[in-house]
Amino acid sequence: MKRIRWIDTVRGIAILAVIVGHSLQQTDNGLLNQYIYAVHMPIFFILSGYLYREKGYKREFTNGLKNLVVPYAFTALMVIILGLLTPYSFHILKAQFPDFQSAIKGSLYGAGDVGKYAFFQNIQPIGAIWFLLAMFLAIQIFNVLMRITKDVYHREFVRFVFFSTCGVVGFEIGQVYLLPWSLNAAFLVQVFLYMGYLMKKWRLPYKISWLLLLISFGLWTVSASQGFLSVVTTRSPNMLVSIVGAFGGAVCLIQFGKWLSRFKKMGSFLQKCGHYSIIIFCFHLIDLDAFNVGGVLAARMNNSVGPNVAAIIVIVYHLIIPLMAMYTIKWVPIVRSIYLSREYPFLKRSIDNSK
Amino acid sequence: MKRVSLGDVLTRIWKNVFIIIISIAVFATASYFIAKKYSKPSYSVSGQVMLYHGHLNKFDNLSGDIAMMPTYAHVITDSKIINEVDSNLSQHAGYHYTADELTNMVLATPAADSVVMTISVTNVDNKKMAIDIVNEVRNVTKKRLNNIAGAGNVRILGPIKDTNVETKTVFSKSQIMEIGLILGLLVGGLIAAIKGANLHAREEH
Repeated sequence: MKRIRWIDTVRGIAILAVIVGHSLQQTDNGLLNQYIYAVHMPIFFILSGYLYREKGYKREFTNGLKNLVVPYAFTALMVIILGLLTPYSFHILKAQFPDFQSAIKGSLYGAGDVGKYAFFQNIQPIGAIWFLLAMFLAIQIFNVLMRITKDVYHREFVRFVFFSTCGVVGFEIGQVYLLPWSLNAAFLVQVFLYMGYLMKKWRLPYKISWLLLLISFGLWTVSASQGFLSVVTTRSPNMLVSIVGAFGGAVCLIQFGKWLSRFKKMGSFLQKCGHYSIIIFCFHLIDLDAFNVGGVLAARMNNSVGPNVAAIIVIVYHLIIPLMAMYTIKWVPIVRSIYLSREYPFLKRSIDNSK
Repeated sequence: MKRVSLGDVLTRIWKNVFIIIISIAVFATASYFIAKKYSKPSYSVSGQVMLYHGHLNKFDNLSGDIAMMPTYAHVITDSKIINEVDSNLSQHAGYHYTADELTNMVLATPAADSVVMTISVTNVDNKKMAIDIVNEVRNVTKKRLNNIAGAGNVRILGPIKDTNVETKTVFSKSQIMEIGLILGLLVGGLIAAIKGANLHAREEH
């Protein structure tokens, strides 16, 4: 399937924004980070909604397992193994989980943040890769709802009500419990997936005027200035403002991405980041969860050079492992099949063999 | 005539799901406003007084006082005390009850084997007014019970706080809204089914 350049560029911007956002959390956690948090997670769901094509339940489920759950499981396993090596690492590694049992429990639960968990207590969150499990569940729910509403009268009205209700349900559950596999977030993001679907339907990315861009930036600013949006915990000072702000931020990023796509070197670098965003994302998580360097560097730099310079240094550091992974994983058999199952499938399809 | 299976009926209802959504929205909105207008909470609160002769620490007349407690309870809810309470409260803003209504609202209950009397008021439509009524009954009891029934000393026990007030509603707002949602679902489902059946009939012709 032909890749859409500007979508990869926007994904590239978004995945780098995730790294910048996490780095700023350790250093200069201010308004800039609020701008990033207002859009960096919703944009992935909006783009998925944009690229949505109806599939059979089984096929969607299998695709989700291969492209999202398997990379999640492998990344969690890496974090656990590196955690076990901590005592022999000369303080370079750190253990995300206190013991093996809690590592298994935390990985299976897939919580992204600290909170009140349903069914279990004392769960150690796995961290940023909650996103993969939430995306898996969200796409299944979205596909089911899209399919069952395919033949109803006043289809888009019905869908709007269903997806809004999902958003409200996810938001309300999140105020009480963080469900396994971030199911509450999976419900909340139905709003973003549907937003992306409508953007495609209305061909919005090809109709962005200066006025729309200005209004969108205004909405994004209002959302960012009210505080942080946490999709995983479904928390925001005002969720409705955050949802509208995420739309504004997405429009701005899409336009920015389209503009950057015109530059040869920058464009191709961002497209590469977008294309391999799952590798960047998972190895960034490994860096955050298993390596001690980022935290120590941030603490030392904050004290010695101040939060602004520290932010730049920590961002540069946090880019090293994910970008190295992006350039090298495709040369590593098995691992590349785990993260890039479409390009490097474990088993070649029988149709290919028969040719 | 072609037989229609349950699956056909459900498919036709589902196709018209927008009717169910609109129906739920209409009923939920209507029940919200009904709940806002008619679901009024009522407040109940109680306070204590102690009735005794002589000195409490000597226990002179304790058994006599305990035996008289049911009588005092009747006197406290009698018109002689209640009318005075009503008259005193009528100057309070927001007080709108008659003496007869007040008689039905005020209750005096002796605690078992004790000289403590619980005075309570129920079904008051205002939290503060509920507290004011009990306080006023206690004040008038303190002032008048000895003259009327020879109750001896009347001591008012602890003050009443906002947190002591119990709130009760016959149907809470959420209950009314739940009923509205279910009604909306049923009515919407019915309309969707009828509309589906009409379409089916037209298709057959």
